[in-house]
Amino acid sequence: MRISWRQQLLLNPHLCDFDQWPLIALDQVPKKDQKDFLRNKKIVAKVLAGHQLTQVAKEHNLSEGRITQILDRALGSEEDAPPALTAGLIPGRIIVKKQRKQPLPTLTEELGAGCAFSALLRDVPGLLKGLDDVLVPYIAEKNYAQNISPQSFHSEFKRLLKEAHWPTDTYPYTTENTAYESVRRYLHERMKILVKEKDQTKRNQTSRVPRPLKKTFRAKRAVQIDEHKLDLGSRINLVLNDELIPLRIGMISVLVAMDVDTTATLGFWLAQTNAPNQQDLLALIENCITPWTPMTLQTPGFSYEPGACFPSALPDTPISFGMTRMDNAWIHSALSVTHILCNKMGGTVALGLPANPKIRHLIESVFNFINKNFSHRLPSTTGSYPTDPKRESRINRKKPPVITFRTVLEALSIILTSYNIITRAQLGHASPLSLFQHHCTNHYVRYSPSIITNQWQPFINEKIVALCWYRHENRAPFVNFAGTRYSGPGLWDAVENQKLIRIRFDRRRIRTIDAYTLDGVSLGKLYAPASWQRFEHSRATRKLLLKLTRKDRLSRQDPLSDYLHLLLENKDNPKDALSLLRIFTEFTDYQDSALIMDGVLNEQQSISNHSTTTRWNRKMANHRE
Amino acid sequence: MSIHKEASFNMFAAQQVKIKGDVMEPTQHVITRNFKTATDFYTRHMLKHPFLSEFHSYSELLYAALLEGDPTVISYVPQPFHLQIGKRHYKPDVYVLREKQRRQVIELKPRGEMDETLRVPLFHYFKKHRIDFEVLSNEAVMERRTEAENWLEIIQILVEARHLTTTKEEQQVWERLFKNQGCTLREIVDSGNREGTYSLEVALFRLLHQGHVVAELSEKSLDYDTVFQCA
Repeated sequence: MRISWRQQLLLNPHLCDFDQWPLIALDQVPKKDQKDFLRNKKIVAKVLAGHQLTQVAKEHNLSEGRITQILDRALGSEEDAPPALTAGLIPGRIIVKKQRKQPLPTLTEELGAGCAFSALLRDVPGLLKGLDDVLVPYIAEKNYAQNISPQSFHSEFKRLLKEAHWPTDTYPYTTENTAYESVRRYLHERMKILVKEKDQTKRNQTSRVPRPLKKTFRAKRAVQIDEHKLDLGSRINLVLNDELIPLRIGMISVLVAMDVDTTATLGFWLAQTNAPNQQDLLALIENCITPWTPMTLQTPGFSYEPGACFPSALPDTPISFGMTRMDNAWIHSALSVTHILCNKMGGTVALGLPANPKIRHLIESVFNFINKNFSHRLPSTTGSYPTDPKRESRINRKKPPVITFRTVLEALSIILTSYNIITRAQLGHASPLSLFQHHCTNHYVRYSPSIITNQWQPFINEKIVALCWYRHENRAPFVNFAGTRYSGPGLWDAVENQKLIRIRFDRRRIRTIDAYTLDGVSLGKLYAPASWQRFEHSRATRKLLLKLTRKDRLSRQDPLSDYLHLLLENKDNPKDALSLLRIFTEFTDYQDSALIMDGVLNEQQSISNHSTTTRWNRKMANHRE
Repeated sequence: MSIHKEASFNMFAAQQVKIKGDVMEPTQHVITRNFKTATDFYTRHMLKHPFLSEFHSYSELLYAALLEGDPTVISYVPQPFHLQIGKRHYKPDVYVLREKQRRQVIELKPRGEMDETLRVPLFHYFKKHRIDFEVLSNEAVMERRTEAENWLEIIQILVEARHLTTTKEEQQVWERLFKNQGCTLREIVDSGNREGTYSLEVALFRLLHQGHVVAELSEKSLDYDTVFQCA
């Protein structure tokens, strides 16, 4: 039953106060209706204020009946529905859902097709359910579901009508295309509703226990780590045969660690690859726990902001990781990573649910900070997506970018340390660094003494291996490690009474490893075969080169030189140029000279020296340097 | 009445489900790499399960921390058995060994609701092996979140210092607590000289872990004003 405006006011007396009605700004109403909307508002306000209908009608030059109509439109409603209120005062606004009251048109009696389709859905038994039965399996991605298009849906609609024995002289058979357009519109509307329902159900099913608000805020409690490919092209300068060759290198990755409760960045590592490996992650951990010292900045105009640093530079605050939150990339679940974080530091590794980056929103915000303040500001940026207008122009793309690798490294160091001294509202207008310091001095925060932190060497690993000796072949005893045989004079001492020995190695330098008996007696150094002695190299590089050797892309006599040569031949390819930089850094044992490939160069430090002595003197390949 | 009859019939049927597996030696069953990426995965070194322990949800991790803090618990094993119930594979969440109590197998579930077709046969199967089977709600664990997080912090310190000998320091701390009828953490740990008082700090937490010392950890996070007393 419909309630009139007078009854509505008696039932809901609070509606008598026009101020309590929902506000609709005048500019939200179509311009042509604004005048009448304002007039209607005045009329309702006056009536609610107690003015007589006759008087109001006279003031606005309307009949009393019209005034009642306006009031009924705003305040009248069905028993179980709320009144339209302010929305009802907008002229022409549909406030009641239209329903067809007339019978459906037939061939003999054409009554117009207004609201005929919704009446059809209401009247034909099983039509609504039948259409839903077609849509629901499609949305649920069932294997038996039909792929739905407007055409196929319309066919289903016609089939259901036939099954219901719907008279063929009645709507929709009275229209030219059997209500195709109405079916199409219904399909899209219904799909929206069903998809929303599905999402809602899914969300309810997957919703985890609502966690109570976090009470503990403490430095070093939790750390977030992630990798980000820098949206930036850069270059290295290669000196070859006394000629300076600028080369474009592929996109490099930055790994950042961040303390969650203080939002301080703990450190970063610039990986010379677009696919970092566990060694890069270990390098990041090492950077975070080693006391930070500012870089010697070589780029003109660059300088650190006063007081900007990473927390490891603060006095008497050794960094350790509590709960380390990362995504579930395979490098994060590497044994070497869990070994340092769980076994040595005693912390937790949390890999989180898949496809939930918002759990680690802080670290993502740091990458946004890097993009905004650095990588997207340079003309050699790749932008965030293929059609980003910021993307490097086609003309510039043909030339190597102006910015060098060394400059990128320095810029990131400056940006991430300055991030720590920016005051933030959510930290009570304190900077992350000062808050970190405050927590460490005023609250109980986990402390690791030097006797323990000295043992945290992320790159140093130990392994127990079998000691092999083929006596009948008259060969020296050896151990198998990293795909090759290692031997050394010390093994002769253990070969008679030891079957297993312990080896200790640095993942970045595996030309030589240290050997010990299981009792801890040193057996001296073990050496890799001569073919792997040309340059210092990491375990990851060894693995890659062994793979390439097996595919016969590199010689087995000197794979290290061959790989360097292969990269030099393909140096114009940005990816190979990037690999060249990475390999060169490794081969030069991570010394500063590794970075001579960009920035200021001199002949003695140049790669040409290495390449001339190594690549073109193949006889050296079988000899130890 | 008819509902009861039907329920008891189903229960009887559930008891008849065949369960295969070995519950004599509880050993942590390590999950596959694919499963690791599909769950809310946590791993860390614990003390009462002195290996790298794996947990498949935050509630499981917190529950393990609470077991560490419970002095009646001798040891526990996460994901202790791999059972086959009919055609389904099942790994319970944790196996707990307590002092002077029957062995327990605990399953953590949202709202403590577990499929009856699994719960009933498991209950009877473990009963046959003289093990209690219980289903706990995640919510009950989350309510004790502060306490569990405090224990996680303490366990981290103890794991980090597991090679350190503190017998003498434990005696010193115990005597001081006994003499003063309790102390705050500040009185034992010198905030200006953490390196110098590190052994005392570890000794205090070891006593706490062994149940010789008690502290209020359920309301506030561990801080210098936390009071420690002899148990």
